[in-house]
Amino acid sequence: MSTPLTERELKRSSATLLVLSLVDETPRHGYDIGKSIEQRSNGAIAFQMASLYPLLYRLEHRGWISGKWQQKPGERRRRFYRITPEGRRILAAERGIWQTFVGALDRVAGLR
Amino acid sequence: MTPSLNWRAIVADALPSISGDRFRDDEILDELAQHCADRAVDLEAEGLTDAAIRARVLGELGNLVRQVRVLRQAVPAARPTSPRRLAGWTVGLWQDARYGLRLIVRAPAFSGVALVTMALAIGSATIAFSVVRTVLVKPLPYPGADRIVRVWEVTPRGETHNVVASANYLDWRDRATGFTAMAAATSPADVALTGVGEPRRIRVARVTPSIFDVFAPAMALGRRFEAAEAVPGGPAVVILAHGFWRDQLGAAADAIGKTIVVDARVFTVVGILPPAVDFSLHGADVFVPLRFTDADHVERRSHNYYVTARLRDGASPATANAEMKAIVTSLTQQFPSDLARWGANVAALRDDDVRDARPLLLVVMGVASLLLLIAGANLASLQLVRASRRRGELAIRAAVGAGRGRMVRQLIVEAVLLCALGGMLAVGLAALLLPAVVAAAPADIPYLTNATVDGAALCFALIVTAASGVLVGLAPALMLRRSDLQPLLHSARTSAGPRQERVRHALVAVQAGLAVVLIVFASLLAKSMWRLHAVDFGFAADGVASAGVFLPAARYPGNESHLQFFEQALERIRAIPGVTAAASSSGEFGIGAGMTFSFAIEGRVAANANGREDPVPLQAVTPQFFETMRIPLLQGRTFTAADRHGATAVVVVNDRLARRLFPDGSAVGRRIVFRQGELPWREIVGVVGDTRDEGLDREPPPTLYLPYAQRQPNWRWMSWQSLLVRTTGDPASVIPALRRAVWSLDPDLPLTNARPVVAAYAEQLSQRRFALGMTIACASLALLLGAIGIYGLLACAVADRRREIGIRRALGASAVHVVGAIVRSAMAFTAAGALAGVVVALTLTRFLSSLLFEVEPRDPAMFAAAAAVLCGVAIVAAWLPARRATNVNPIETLRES
Repeated sequence: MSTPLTERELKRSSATLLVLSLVDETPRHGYDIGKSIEQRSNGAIAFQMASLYPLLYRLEHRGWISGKWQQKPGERRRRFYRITPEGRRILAAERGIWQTFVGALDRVAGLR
Repeated sequence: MTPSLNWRAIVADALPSISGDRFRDDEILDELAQHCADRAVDLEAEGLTDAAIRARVLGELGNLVRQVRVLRQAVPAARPTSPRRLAGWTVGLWQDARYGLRLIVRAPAFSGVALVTMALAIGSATIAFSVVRTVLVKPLPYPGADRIVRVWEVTPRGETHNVVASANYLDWRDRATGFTAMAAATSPADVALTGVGEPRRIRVARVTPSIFDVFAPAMALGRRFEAAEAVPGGPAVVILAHGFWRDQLGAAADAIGKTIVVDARVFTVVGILPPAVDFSLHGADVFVPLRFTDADHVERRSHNYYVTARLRDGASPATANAEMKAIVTSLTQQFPSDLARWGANVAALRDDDVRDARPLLLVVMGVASLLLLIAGANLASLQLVRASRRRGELAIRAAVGAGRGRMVRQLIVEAVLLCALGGMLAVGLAALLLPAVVAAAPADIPYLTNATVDGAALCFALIVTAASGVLVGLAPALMLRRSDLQPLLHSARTSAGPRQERVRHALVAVQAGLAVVLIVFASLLAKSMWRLHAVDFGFAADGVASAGVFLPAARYPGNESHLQFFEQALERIRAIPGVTAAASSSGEFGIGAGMTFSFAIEGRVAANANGREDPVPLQAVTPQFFETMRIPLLQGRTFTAADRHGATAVVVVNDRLARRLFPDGSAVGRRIVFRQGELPWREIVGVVGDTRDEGLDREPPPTLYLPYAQRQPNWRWMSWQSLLVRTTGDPASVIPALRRAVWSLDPDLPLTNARPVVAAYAEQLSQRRFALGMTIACASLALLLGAIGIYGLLACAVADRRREIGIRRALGASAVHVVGAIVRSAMAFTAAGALAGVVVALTLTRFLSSLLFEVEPRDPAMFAAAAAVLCGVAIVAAWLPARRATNVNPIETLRES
């Protein structure tokens, strides 16, 4: 929280990777995606509505994810997002980029 | 509790359109609402309080709303390509409208009252507009109608609208250069149309052929009159009004050349006028050529003709008046004994035609406008009450970032929606009621029957509706201050701020004031009517029926035949069961004598230049006339059967004339003569009581009576007589028998204006009655609306002040005390409004003066009564909610807070 600008930049550049990975595992609704990111990052990364939904709609518009209304027994009707084949290709590419990037950072800055 | 908030509605209110596509927007709304609900459930599980949860979720939603641009960029595909902002605004408007509609449906009681209020107010205003526009503004159906003028004679007594003598008209026509044409016409007279079923009364006007140059109508069929048809002995031709052609001849295309029988003469139809064209001779069914005889060319004393003219280019009524003045001056030098102190008056036709109806119509329009203002203030105050109920909702919307502009728009859209629905009802109502209003309106308002809810009326209704909507919505919107709303988020307080309360009070005061104006109007008119009903006719009007009979010259050529007819007719009428007396008169009760005559008194030189007294109404009556009408005999005797032609010529005068001419009381035994050297001296044999012949609101005219049997043979106008029948029962029921009695003598004679005499007087009061009815209806409505306004305001105030009232009660305030305090608070601003209304009314009632009778426009009693009535209603309206306050349980209200 002390350096919000940096954090925001990191979040923005990593957002696509995060969302695509989560919906690659299983179809998820918007609130679930935000909550999962927050939980798995132990609260380090959090998406509020204001940033989450514009992101989801952008990815959907690009054809990387697709949303569909579903109703599970005993629950309200929700919009579930699943990854598209195109999304999967992007996810693989993103993962490659980040692996290379994190590896490089590690080698330079000794992160691990 | 909090998770069950209606997040869908909150998000829908907060979020403007995203995609421009309704379906997609709905999806986004659903998704975001679901997100908020999920979030609230999670926060509750974390143990947060309701208020904290609400604040947190609204905060997060607010962030999104503030960055709505980012969201929009994320879904660009569905965004409309061209004028984006406008489209977004339109969609937003659509959302507002849908939301407003939901609110309207959700509050049926409020909406019902509001809709009916606006429907009645806009409907009345639309009707008033249609009527006023049709009568006062709508162009007359003639080419260059604004160049048509009427020319009147001005009498020595200063009456500016006197009909014109034939010789004067002919001289004007020949000398005036400011006109391209000048025409004369007689007023439409009753004649008998025979040969088609029962003899029917129709109205014929005689017109000079030049009237077609003045009005320039495009004939529907056939041709105009030709100059050759307007000479004595010319062919019997007739031109039909469009309505007559349609109703009597079934709009037959081959009507030209057909004949109709009018007063036993056969006329050939030569032309049909287009619809609505009547040369301003209202009520005429057919037109025949007006033929001036040699005698007419020198007749300057008998004033009979309506003169119209068309102004030449560049001339105006003012220049025409100047020219006419010069012409009259030169004619007066030529004929000083006939024309001394006479003048002429040129007036634009339209203004002239509607001059009598104008005050009434302006009153009607004014009253309807006042009602509209009251309804608007009423709706605005109701909206305020409702807005304060919705402060919680508005606070939430403000918290999630809905801008003030957006919220103002929402409130205005809601009000416009209410008014639009009201406006639609109003137009339907106006279309439905206008014919009824036209039917109920006095028959003597020209052009009124042309009134319809037309395009102009629709435009008017639309503008009024939109304006009311914006103004009504603006009141609560203007009071929306974000600072007022912010603190409400975390509290349950929904009461109004002091600012809002002030505006509410002001609105109710405005309603009270305007209602007082209307009540003052209504009470002044009502008092006039009451005064009129208390007026003494001067005779016993109850139980008398009258009917007019005209004897056409073709079958009744001379005096003897007239006398014989009326003697026989009256004999048969007296034989009708229930009839106690019958007579005839050349005058008509409720209208007047129709003819005025001047005369000279034996042994006295009159002050007038022509050596004769001022003309007075003259009535030729049969012997039993005074007994039939029960006009009291004050001096001398009335007429007997012995007062026939050849016997001593006699007259009777009424008290007013006797006092004017012989203040010393020496009327009986004096002698008068109508025309020096022409007629025998007539002896005054009696003085009778004054009668209000011309109407209850007119002073009894000084009147001269003479025996019908002693009338002059050349008095053609006396071929018309009104039969007067006194019955023991209902005078209306004797009319069929009266008709049969006349037809048993001559089956081709129609009876005109057959009705009880009191009905004739009632008709003469129709303008006043119409104004009174309209004003009373509007005033009652205004009072009702005012009561609703005060009630709504106080009900709301009591609800707002429950806690305060609870505390007071807990501290020992009595119920009477609490009710008193609330009623007093209402009365303070109601009384202030009423006072302002009294002041406004003081300046406005002078517009009523032409409709008032023996009542001052500033009658203090009526003003006081109006204010008292309003305050009385206000007290009742305030007492109801105030009483509810006493039911407040102190413990409960304190616990609530």
